[in-house]
Amino acid sequence: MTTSPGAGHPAGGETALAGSQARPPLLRVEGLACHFGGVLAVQDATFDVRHGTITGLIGPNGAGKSTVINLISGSTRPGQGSVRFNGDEIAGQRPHEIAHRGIVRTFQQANVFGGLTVLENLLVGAAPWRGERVSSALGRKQAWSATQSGLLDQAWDILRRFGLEGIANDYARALSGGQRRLVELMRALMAQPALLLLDEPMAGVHPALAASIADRLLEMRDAGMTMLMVEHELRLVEKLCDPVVVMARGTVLAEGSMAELQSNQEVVDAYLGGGGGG
Amino acid sequence: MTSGLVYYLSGLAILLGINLIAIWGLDLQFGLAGINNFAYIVFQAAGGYAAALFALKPAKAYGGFETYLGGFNLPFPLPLIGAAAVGGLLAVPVGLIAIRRLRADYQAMAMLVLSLIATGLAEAQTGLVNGPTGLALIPQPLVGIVHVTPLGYNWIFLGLTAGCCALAWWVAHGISRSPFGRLLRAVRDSESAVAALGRNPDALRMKVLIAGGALAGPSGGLLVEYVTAWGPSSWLYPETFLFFTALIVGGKGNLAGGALGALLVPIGIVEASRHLPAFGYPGMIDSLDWVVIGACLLVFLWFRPNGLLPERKRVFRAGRQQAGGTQVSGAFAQRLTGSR
Repeated sequence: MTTSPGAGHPAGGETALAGSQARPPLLRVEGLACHFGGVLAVQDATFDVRHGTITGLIGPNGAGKSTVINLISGSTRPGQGSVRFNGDEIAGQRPHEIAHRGIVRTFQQANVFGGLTVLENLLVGAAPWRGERVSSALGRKQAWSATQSGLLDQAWDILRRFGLEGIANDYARALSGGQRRLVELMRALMAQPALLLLDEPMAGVHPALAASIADRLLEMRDAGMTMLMVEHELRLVEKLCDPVVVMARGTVLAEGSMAELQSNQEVVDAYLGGGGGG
Repeated sequence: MTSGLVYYLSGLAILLGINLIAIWGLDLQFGLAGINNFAYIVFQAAGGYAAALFALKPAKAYGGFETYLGGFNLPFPLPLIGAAAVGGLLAVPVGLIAIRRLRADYQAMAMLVLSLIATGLAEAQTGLVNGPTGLALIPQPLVGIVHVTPLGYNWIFLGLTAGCCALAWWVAHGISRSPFGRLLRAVRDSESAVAALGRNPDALRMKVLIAGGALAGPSGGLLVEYVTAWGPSSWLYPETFLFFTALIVGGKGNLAGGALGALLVPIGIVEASRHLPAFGYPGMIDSLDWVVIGACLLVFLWFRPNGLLPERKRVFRAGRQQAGGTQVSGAFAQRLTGSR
């Protein structure tokens, strides 16, 4: 890995990164801690996620990366520490409240609605709207069908963008693991999140499909979306992420570009030198 | 066809309609939202008691041979409306106890326990709904206003039941085809993903628990107003599994499936057994009813879990043919999806 920050990023990546430095961070994690019984999963985790970046979160197995994602998204309540999103404290809020603020996540195991079609999965991804109320369900269909048509157009556009319009009306449970990952990603796009949390989006995905997902992520970043991504595949992290936060044994070990991290002996010892580059 | 047979068949049609309303209510909760409401019969029972207490005069008016709370002597259709309200309202405490914080398997256990508690309470509290003996002499709708033969009254009651079925269909169909119904199906599949997309799964389940309860209530109300009596032995917890079996046999998440299940299970199996020649000890056929119903449930769970008429796929056509669609996607999404 011989790279400099932003290398491999399509034009616009560096501009976005430079612009983001001037603004306060979109997400600030400070002193976050969590334990399960006697096991300290995360302790004193502190890092920022800046606007318009894909911030990588890497580390060996058991480092606490997914727990951090769970803590930020509200799936797990932190024992202590602070999570500030756009300046507001969100630590300890429930997942739907955090999502309502604009933080949407994907899961380590692709978490699609198997009994819904791909298109329906995307429709559920859209931000909450009036048509989802009980009163709308019992009212005239015309009251919500127009808005749904707009959402359908948006969903079809995303499906075409991902080249998946052919499976739009397939049940999600019938899809391959990689396709489920894509459905999860497209569904998150429908939500138009301010911050997208990606928990190992390439896990179990065929390399060709992973490359396709990576390209979509770069497009999303260039369109202004901010992401925090847990990933084990370091070549993809190198291609997509800047900065990168390294965790080990529940704490943040280092933060910087992949080039900077490569020269950090502590990081190399904890992770990069441990054959984790595959 | 003899008038006796017509009377019997019209009575069956009434029971079919009553079961249909209850099964559609359960379909909202279980078929659509995946709530294992093993206390469902309690919602029907509550509606039955509510309709009875709203329709009955105060206990003193009947010489005090039964004791109960209330006795408001309300005219039709207020007892049925009250039954719907009570069925819906009951969902609130039940939901707070059994839905929040509990996993689906524990929810099912909690519901079953609530059903047992409810039966125990109804039997133990004689001043509430006349204890284990139950309520009798429950006034029928419009009796005293219309003067017809018993068969004529059956036709009137069938019309009333059909009207209630139409209302229940409107509610169940409206919910199941709507974006709200889609969210419920999403909750059924993955609560965590729904929450991660900004919806409160507990609130969604609570709403559908109320909607289902508001259908179970009047089904109970109609039942007690038809049979004019209601007691704890009419709504023991196995009755819930009669509805579950009907839904699983017919097809959950599909109103037509629920209707088919209502015809095949509570009416088909139970009525067919009435015409069997007596054998064994007295009550043996009744016991075998439950064996057949239970076996039916197990066979379908093993070999056809989606029922005879499975949930239908919602297919959307491509393109922007939906003229007049409100463009809700913002500039951000348009940049993501590309300008078109």
